[in-house]
Amino acid sequence: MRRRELLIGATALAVLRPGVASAAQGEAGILDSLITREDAAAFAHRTRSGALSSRIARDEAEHAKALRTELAALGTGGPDPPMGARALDPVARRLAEAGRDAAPARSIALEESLLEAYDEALRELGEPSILRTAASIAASHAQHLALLRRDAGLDPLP
Amino acid sequence: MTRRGLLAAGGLALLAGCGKDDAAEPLPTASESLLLQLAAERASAASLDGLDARAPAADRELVRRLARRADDRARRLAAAVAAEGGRPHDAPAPDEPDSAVPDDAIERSRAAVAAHVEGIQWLGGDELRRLGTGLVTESAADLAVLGAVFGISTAEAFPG
Repeated sequence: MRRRELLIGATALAVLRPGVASAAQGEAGILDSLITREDAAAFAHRTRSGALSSRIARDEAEHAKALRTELAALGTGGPDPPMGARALDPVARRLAEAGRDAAPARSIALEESLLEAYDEALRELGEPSILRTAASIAASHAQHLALLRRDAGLDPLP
Repeated sequence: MTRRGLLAAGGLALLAGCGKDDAAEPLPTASESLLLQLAAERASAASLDGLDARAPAADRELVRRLARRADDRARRLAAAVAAEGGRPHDAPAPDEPDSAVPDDAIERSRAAVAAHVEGIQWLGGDELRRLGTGLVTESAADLAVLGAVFGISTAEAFPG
């Protein structure tokens, strides 16, 4: 479904402006991937108890919403949210399925993984509005990571 | 957004020529954006100086680290400005900070994060984009930790 939407949007742009279409297709693919990661992270953090996890889950859901807005501006719809833990990426799934003792380390691993995804995306993105949104979300994940590490008794700024 | 955040964003908007009719208004250069980021980071670093004395004993070294990290970001920015052909001393000098007041330090740190988020769009090329990404994530993490030390919530879904 979502691949078809991406294809339709990119095809329409390719007919109108070939150079722009290629760039937009690349940005749309990156956004699609980031939305999938954010949806999965929101799902995984929602499975944990505690104020910080709840806060992070809400933030991730807001991130996915903002990214969907950017993707819609490119003329394509976003991926469907996950319906269960089995639909999550491996890092999010490990958190969703973690026992109480393993949860802090897996929350940290998930935020580290998201930061890496944004680090990579920020090298590729070019459209100013998308860049600013992605940079702000990367900042949010950096904050989550620092707070989770502090909460776990680790150095928050390794 | 805070007053300082608005000022940072407004500075870049002015550089970008937003709100003007002249479509030929030049976009800010990387050097111009870096200068605004440098000014914001210097202001943040100045407000962190001596703040450790106001922190709980267990967090004083952490606050000193935050100050050193802000200084380091300012140094990296100054080097980047020079590498882009600009003059680091052209960055506006920061206002005198309120003496070691957590709220002031947090406001200035928020403004630095805002300047880095806004500035990333003008930092093209692998090296500058990597610098910009690092400044965004490091300054945001530091802001979250600063807030946690002083019991002030600074984490947001969209910092900057």
